[in-house]
Amino acid sequence: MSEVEEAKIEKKKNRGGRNLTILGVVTILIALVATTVSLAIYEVSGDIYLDRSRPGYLPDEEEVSEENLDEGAYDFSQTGEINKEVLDEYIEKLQVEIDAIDKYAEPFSGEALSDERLGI
Amino acid sequence: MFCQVFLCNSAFAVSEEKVNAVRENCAGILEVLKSVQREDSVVRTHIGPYYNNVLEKFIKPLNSRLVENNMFDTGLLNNQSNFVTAQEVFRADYSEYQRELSELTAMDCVADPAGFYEKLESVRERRRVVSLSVSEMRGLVSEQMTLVEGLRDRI
Repeated sequence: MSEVEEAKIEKKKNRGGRNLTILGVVTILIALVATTVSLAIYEVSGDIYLDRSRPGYLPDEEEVSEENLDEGAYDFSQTGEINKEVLDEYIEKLQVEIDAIDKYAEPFSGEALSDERLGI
Repeated sequence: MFCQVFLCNSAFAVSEEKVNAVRENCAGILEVLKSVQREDSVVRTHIGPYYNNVLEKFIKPLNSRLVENNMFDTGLLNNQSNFVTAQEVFRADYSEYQRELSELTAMDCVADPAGFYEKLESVRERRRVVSLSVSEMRGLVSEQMTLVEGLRDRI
């Protein structure tokens, strides 16, 4: 093989190595940009405040067993006739939901951030 | 220095007593605020689905079924519209409140106790707004019950 041909082959190998490096760098940059955008959306949308998988926010054991009671909850059908019996059942089931909501009496009351509680 | 003592550019003056109390109890205050954040998270993740349940499994299906039976009830339709709005308002109010609470917990209450207390007042106001949005949704759920009872009595 002539020296010129050998030089050409060597040049191709070097170019291949360089291209692989560029690919790696570009991939990492795209990943960084995508992660940054995702985290920004996560925070701006407010989903971060609903995420209980964060450290310190995981549900307690008692809470998990309480949540299981919601399985098989009532589902009012969008089709079918409307009569007194249907509406009686609807009212009864809606009352169950209201009772569950009312377990959290005065959610977000001012007492939690009062001077007394904070020790000010 | 003059403005740290006399709180220039603040809408209200934080008393010296409160400034000192914040500076002295800074660590304890931050601990309480963080536990408030956790408590709020619990409440939010519980009541949010309940209210969403009411909308998706009670309010909307009933209106669809009424339409299918050619029984239009403008009161129930208005209640649905109001509930959707109230839910969106609650979500936005809660996010804003939590954002400000997070900013408050990130502040240095030893270096700037007056600024910290002012921010605390702002967070309290945000919390009050969230409480009002929840009351609004709760009121609409009661309204739904009243309207359905009225409908049942008319049938």
